[in-house]
Amino acid sequence: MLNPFKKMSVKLINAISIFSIVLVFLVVAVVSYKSMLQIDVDEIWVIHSYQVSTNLNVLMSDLENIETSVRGYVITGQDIYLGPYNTYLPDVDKTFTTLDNLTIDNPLQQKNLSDIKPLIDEKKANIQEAISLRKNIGLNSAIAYVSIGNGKKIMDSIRIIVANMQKEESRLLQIRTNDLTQINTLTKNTIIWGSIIGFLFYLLVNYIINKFVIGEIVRKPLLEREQKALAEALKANKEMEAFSYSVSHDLRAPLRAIDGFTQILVEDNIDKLDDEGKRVAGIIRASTVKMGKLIDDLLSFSRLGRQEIKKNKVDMKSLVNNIYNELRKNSPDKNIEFVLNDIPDAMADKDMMSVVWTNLISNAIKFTGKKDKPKIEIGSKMDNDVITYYQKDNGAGFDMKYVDKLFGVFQRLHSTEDFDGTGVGLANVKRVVERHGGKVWAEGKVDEGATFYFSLPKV
Amino acid sequence: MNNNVDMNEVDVLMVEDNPNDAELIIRALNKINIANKIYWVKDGAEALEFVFCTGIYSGRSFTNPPKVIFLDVKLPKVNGLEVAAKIKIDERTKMIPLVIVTSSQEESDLKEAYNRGVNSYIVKPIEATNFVKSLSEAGLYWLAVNKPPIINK
Repeated sequence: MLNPFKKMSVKLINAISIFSIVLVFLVVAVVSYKSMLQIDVDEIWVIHSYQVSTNLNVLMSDLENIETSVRGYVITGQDIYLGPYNTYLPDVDKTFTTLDNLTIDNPLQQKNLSDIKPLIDEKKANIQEAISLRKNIGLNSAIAYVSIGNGKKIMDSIRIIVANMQKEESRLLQIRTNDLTQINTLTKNTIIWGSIIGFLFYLLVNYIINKFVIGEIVRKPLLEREQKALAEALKANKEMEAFSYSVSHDLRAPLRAIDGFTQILVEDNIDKLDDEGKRVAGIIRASTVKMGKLIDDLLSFSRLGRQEIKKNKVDMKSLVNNIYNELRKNSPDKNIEFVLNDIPDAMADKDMMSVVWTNLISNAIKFTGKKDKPKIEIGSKMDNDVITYYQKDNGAGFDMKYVDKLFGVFQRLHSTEDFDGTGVGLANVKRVVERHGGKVWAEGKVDEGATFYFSLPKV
Repeated sequence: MNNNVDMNEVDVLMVEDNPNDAELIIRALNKINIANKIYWVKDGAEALEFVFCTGIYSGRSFTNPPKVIFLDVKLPKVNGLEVAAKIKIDERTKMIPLVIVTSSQEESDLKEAYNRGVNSYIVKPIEATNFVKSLSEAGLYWLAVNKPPIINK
């Protein structure tokens, strides 16, 4: 199955998902907030429309009150009928100013108001004329004046314009109410769908992480998986230790008995055993010792794999010198030309480096054993971030065809008849160097010698 | 092979579960003519009974300890390191020279043994000549060269 998320880490995907989810909810929040502001504005406009409408009603009712009041006065001639006239007349101007202010932004209503203004003035003048005629001349001339119908005409014109204005305001009110409804719906939808999308997105990301990143085989929480792996590694290490312990203890005991009792057999029957019997007993004993050596080497190989590396500054030159001198004690009569160049210190585990050099140098001594003028040279080469140490000898060498077998466990390129050994030494070298983050390799030619290289990181 | 030694006159208490190893040790010690004073027990529990004069060894006396104990590590019932710990922590027995004789070369065993206060640690060689040499020299050292402690009578 194609896995497009393989290269992305869980952390990255988590970060992206959290970011996306936050983004979705942020959009929801911004839209809601903007809608709320818009609702506030629209509500103000709705209230405004009502105010205009109410004031128009007030204007009309004031004018009608005034008209009624004057009508009563014209008929009766009693001053008491002029009460409402006196009360409402100043109100008409006040209401007009209020309307003018309320509709300042609406050119249509302003035009209507400017049409009404002269009509109101005319109406006022008409009424005053009627009052004045009634007061100064009498009932008949006042009635005659009213009967001409100017007052009624003016009043009708005002009514028409006010009705238009009401119509305009109710049209605006309708628009603003619609706006409000729309915004309310939009806000509601944004919140609902935003939440749904955010939640679905969260589920999707979770699914992707589980399916593709954590793996198709094991769908368990990462932490649990790591803990299990660690526990298994620890358990394997413990089992390996128990195994090694058993090997070192239990496998040696029978070998000790074989060798010990073979020797007793030979010693106690020295007169009865012929040369062939002694030779056979010798083979038994030598094989037993060899087996013991194999067990020891295998254990050291296993130990080098498990042992904790303690890195320190290691004086490689003096380490090599000490090891060489120690190994020469086993074959003091050999005349070896030993060249030790200046080699740099290493950041490494000293005990493990000692294993490396002991194996390399003892090999060189062993494989130059049949040469007339054995020579061993040790030196180094510095690169940017690695130090490469080398050891060159003029011994038996090896065929480059088998170079890949050189560092394998129990792999030997020479018969034990020619050169003794268990085939673990170079495997140990490789294991130590690789555990230090370095590399080993070799070059050789049959009968002309071999050169072994190992590199170590500078820090 | 049997323990025909007076348990109050033991030179070497040998704690060894493997009869082959036991025989090889006795033969090695034989070379220095002290083998008749060796007492052999086969597990850690019996070793503790012997040293602490309990169980079948209740007839023994604390005032006649062995001159040296040769103690294997891997033992049935009670492991050698536990035996060593119990002997070295008790006022009545802690002065008895205690030598570990084992196949184990494990660093952890060495460390634990010395931590518990053993006096010496010998790895049994596989090669017969070396085995005889190591064990007979150890016997000679602890029985003839070394001056044993004086246990209060």
